[in-house]
Amino acid sequence: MERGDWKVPRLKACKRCKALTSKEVCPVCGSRDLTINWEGLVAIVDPVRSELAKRLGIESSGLYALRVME
Amino acid sequence: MVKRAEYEGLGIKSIISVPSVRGYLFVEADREFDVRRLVSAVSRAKLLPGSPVSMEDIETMLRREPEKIELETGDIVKIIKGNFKGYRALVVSPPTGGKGFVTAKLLDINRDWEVRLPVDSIQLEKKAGEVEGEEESEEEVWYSGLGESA
Ligand SMILES: [Zn+2]
Repeated sequence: MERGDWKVPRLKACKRCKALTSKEVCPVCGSRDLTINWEGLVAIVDPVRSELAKRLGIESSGLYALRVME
Repeated sequence: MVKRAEYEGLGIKSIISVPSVRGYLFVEADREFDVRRLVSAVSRAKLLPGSPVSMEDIETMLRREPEKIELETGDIVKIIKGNFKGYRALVVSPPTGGKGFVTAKLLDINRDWEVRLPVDSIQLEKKAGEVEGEEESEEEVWYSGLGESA
């Protein structure tokens, strides 16, 4: 894999909850404060049982940025 | 890959890609068997031999973010965000105080153009001194910001 691979292009990250979306509104918290400046990708498949989700404070399944800039 | 993890009823709980550990994905699952099945369904992926990575190790990795970039004058960086994304640039003045901005001259462009870039928008491409085959004219005044220009 190359650098930057698996980073799904054109997805925006919610500055509030870090959820990734291709829409203009965050599917998780409804915020419109989105940015393309994000890195690291977390896919939460099973939010109830995932230890990672717990540690990152993520409560619903989906794609999230690890870090959102600004 | 994520879709597969969801739809195939595997015991996959999460998948994470950490920027500082490029090229690897970490899959959280109950059993290695689940990971193995996921990996076998993705042509470009393969499972590394060895024991599972603990959640503590993952957390350590996450804490290590953000990656610190040590930049010096003369380094070549690649711009990965913003208006100049995709360009390479030559560092003219490195960030001071550990954080902030670098001033760099854009390469791959027929103009003498200096820009100020936040350090998180660049990636180190080549350290100063490792430069090879660069077609830069040495007469270019890229110290202009330092008061050398007439
Ligand atoms: Zn949100």
